[in-house]
Amino acid sequence: MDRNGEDTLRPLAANMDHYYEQLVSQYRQQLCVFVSRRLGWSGDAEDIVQEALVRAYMALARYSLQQRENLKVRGWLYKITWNVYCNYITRSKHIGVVSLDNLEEHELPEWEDEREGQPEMIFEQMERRQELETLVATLPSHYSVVVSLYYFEDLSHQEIADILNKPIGTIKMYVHRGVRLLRKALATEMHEVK
Amino acid sequence: MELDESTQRMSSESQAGQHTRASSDLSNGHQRQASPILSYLGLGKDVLPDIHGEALLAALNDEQWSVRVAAVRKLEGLGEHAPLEPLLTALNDEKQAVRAAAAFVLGSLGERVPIEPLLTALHDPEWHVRTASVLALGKQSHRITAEPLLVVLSDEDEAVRAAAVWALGMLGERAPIVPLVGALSDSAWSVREAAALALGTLGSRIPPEPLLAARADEDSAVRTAAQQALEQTHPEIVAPPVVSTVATGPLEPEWVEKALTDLARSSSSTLDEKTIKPHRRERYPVGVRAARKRTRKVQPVRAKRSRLTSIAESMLVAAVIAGIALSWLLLSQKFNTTTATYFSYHRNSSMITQVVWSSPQDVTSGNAALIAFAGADGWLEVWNPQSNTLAATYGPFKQFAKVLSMNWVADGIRMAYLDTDGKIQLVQDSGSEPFMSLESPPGSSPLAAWSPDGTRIVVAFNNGNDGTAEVWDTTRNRLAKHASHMGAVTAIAWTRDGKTIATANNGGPGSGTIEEWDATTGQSLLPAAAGQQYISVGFRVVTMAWSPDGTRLAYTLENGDVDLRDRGDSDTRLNRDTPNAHTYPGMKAALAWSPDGRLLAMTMPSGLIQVRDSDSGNLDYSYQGHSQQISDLAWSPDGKRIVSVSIDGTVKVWGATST
Repeated sequence: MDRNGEDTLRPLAANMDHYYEQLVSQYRQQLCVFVSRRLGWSGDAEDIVQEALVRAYMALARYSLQQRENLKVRGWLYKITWNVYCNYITRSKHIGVVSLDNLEEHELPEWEDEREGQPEMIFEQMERRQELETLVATLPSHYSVVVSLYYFEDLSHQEIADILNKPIGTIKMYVHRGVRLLRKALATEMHEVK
Repeated sequence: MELDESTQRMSSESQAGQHTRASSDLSNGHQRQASPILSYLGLGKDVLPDIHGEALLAALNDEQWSVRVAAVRKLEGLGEHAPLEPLLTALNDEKQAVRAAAAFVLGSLGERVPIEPLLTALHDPEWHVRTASVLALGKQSHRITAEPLLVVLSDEDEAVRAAAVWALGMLGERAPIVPLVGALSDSAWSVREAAALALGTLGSRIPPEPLLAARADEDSAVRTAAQQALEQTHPEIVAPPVVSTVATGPLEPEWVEKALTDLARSSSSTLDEKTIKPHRRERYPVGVRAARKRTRKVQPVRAKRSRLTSIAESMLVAAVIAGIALSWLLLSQKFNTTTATYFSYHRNSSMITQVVWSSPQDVTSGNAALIAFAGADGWLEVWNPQSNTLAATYGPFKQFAKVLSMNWVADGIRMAYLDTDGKIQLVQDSGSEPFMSLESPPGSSPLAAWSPDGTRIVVAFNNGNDGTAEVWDTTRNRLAKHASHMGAVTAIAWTRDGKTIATANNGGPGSGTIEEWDATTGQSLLPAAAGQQYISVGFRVVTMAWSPDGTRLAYTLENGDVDLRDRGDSDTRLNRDTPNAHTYPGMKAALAWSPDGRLLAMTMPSGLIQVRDSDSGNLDYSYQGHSQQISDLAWSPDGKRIVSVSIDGTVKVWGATST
């Protein structure tokens, strides 16, 4: 199955409504999960995603056939959803980030592709995924969103860079540092359990 | 957490439709839709079975909104056979999903669709409905003018603005270029992207510079759209896009060091070449690059070119751009339009609503003419437009919310502003504290206007459809009071001698009126013998200005007309090119008389300013220096310059004559 689903959508581009129905079918749930993770609960996630998808439909209505065919749908949808989410947060009084006061950043002697290294193994080994998601949500927001998009939403560095309008190098750095903070937090947690 | 009202209504409608559908489905056999979003848009698996004719019309009146939406979308499939009346009725449905679906479908039904209901739907409180209406109008672009779309360009919602930009592009040859270029600076990426795409459809008459600049936009979608537009409009000058340094972040020493260490040690890169390669050249200084162990083929460095070739290419590009600019200038001159500007100022994210010139006494004393304006941040700035220097700043003023009125008198600048508690504060430029405050009833949305000599101020309070104007001096004495006969006050104008005040009122759609009254007594000055208490002008008055001799009153109406009325009550129209009677509630406008009363400057929603002879109405010339609606105009005391401010925080000073 193609990673982004764009190959599935492209043939439908000539019929906008069929194109959109397939798009909703493919991405609505993962968008809801993404937003609910950011919020820390799913209460308003459906509403945010619904508004984002309506906005996506109105945008598709003014795109040409060529633009729909060439559209990188997944990244585009996440971008729209992210904007709606940010507007929602701006209006909201709740702040969902708790800083990790006891964590310090250290420089690694090596830099590696995090997805193939220790964090990936930790993620696979962790039975309590929900706890891990909660832990990610407590990172400083700029790390939290990037780590979440990279590991939980399985987006590429470039896709995340496009969504957040940040340089790809910054995204990689945030993934790297965010995982390091998680390692520290996990190590602390495990030490406390003992 | 709070969602905005629109999202809440959208969600509640969708969820309510889901809950009630359960019982309804059992009773009438309708199938269930799985996704609330598809239900909201009337898409997906058929909510309705394959019904036609009377059954379909009945579904348009179903008690469930989701059935009504689906029925509306089903009408789209009937094409030229779709009945219009039920769709026009659906445009006024209580549910936004139904209204939006109706607007959407109407746009695809051709020339038999009346335009007026779609123009009315531009004022819907829901962004979704407004967007659908704009899209529908865009599909009917050959039947509409640019004006309603230009007003919608200022919509608070980015989806509406993006749709307006797209619809303007659909006007083709009639598309106004300046507002579209201005949209390239919108705060929302979707609007900027739409602007680039729209400009790309308009051919080689589009100047390349804005699109070249848009290729460095922070957003990747905008950059892609700009590149595509350039390839469509100016393929002869398109070069491979420069990877934007704006789009890249600052170099992080730690990251660079770690990345270098990793690449030096690893035998094969684990990084995606596609994602890292475009940025690599910007991130690594030349000296460092040599230390990396290259494990994959890198893009070859562009071969050095001969200096002569580079110069020749630069001259060719410059010649092409100059040719385009010259054509633009010649076309402008053909239509007597100028963009020559003597002073230009822009303050991001700060609406500037009023501007004044320094007092005539100040100028005749030998001082240079200065301009003063206040932004939304509460600071008052004074500039010398001739030398382009900042002369003074004052503020910030306490609890500043918005400017109500400014005047520059012999003592300095006086400003009335609304504070965050709803009080009207009067300040002098030299003082940090207000010298006088006036209470404003809650929710009254007050208006204010200083007298020409700055010793009095008229303040209008509106309570729903009732308006009252009060004249105060600067020692807290209320001098006069005038109660509006016909609705809320929408505009105020003093005569230069300070004896007469005109207030415009709005009693409802089509009920715009003007009242003229004595500034000392508050009594009407209209002919008592005729029993006249007001003058009916039809539409809401947006702005007014008396001629310098106080014998004529010019006013701009909500439908875009500018009318001129003598005190003797004759009616002379200077500008009437609106083809229909539709109004633009969000419209901003300004009027300014030349000091000698011979010319009248007036604004258009596109940001164009026209200067016309006040007797003949003939167009003297036009100024196109703004891409957004103009909020204020002022003629310099010597009559040689005009200053204009637009809602995007841009201030321009330009020549007041065509020569």
